[in-house]
Amino acid sequence: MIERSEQLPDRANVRLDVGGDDLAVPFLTRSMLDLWVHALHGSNPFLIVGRTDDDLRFIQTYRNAPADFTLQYRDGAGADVVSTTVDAPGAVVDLIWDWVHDDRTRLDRLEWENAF
Amino acid sequence: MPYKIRLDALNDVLAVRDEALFAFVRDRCRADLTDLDQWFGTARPAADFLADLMLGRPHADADAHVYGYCVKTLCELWGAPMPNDGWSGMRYGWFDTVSGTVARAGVSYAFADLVAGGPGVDVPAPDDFPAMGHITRDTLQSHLDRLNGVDLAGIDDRQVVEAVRQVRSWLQVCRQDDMDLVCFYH
Repeated sequence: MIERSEQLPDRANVRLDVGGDDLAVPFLTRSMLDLWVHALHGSNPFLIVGRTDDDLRFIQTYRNAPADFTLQYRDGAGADVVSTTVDAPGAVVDLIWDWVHDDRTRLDRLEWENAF
Repeated sequence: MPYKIRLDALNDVLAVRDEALFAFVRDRCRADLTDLDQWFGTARPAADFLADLMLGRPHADADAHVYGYCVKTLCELWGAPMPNDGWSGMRYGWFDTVSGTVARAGVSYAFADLVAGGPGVDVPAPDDFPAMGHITRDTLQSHLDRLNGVDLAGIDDRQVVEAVRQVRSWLQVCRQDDMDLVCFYH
């Protein structure tokens, strides 16, 4: 489980990379994630959210087209990178936020395949 | 300059009122804030105005226009700019020119309203610039419906046609991406 700030329970301590730029955010809220996912554009429209304590635990998305996102995640060294597609930025936000909070309910409803 | 952004999320982030988050934004936007300091030479640095917005401090009366430019900076960080060839390097009267031409084509649409009413974030109204306006995503379709009623084939002025097409494209992109439209003119 991600450590959350004691003051505000909706803050997640994660690594965040947007377009290849490690942003070193002090924390991530769902609204911040919402802003960045919806605004993905340009030549590097991808975003990675990772655990601070394990580089091999991450979830990432690439915007292939306005309504076509590749979503992938990996749950550590012993797990494969799995991949699916999502058609709306709001859904991408929901799924990433679920992953951050170890809630796999919606993630497990999707069909995943190995990314490599 | 038009931006697509999620205004509700932006306002949520501003409501966090966290020093560390402010420091992060200040550092990420340092180049923009430095530009504002160089352009305006205000007594308080632009970062202080940004701090007012992000930390819930009372708005200053002096140099209130800087707040608007700070919102534009936040749109650069958390939104996406859209092409605006049809509306760049223009005098304010261009809004009326386009509105007048469209009115003669049978559609009433005040293009100047794109930069009126504020940016969707609570900031003091500037005395002059930047002019700021926004269209929330729940009303995008009604704007599109009105502009889709313009018969562009009946308009001879190609610059007006391009300008109308561009506003349509902003609205369409925002609708497609489920985002709000914020426009600045300065």
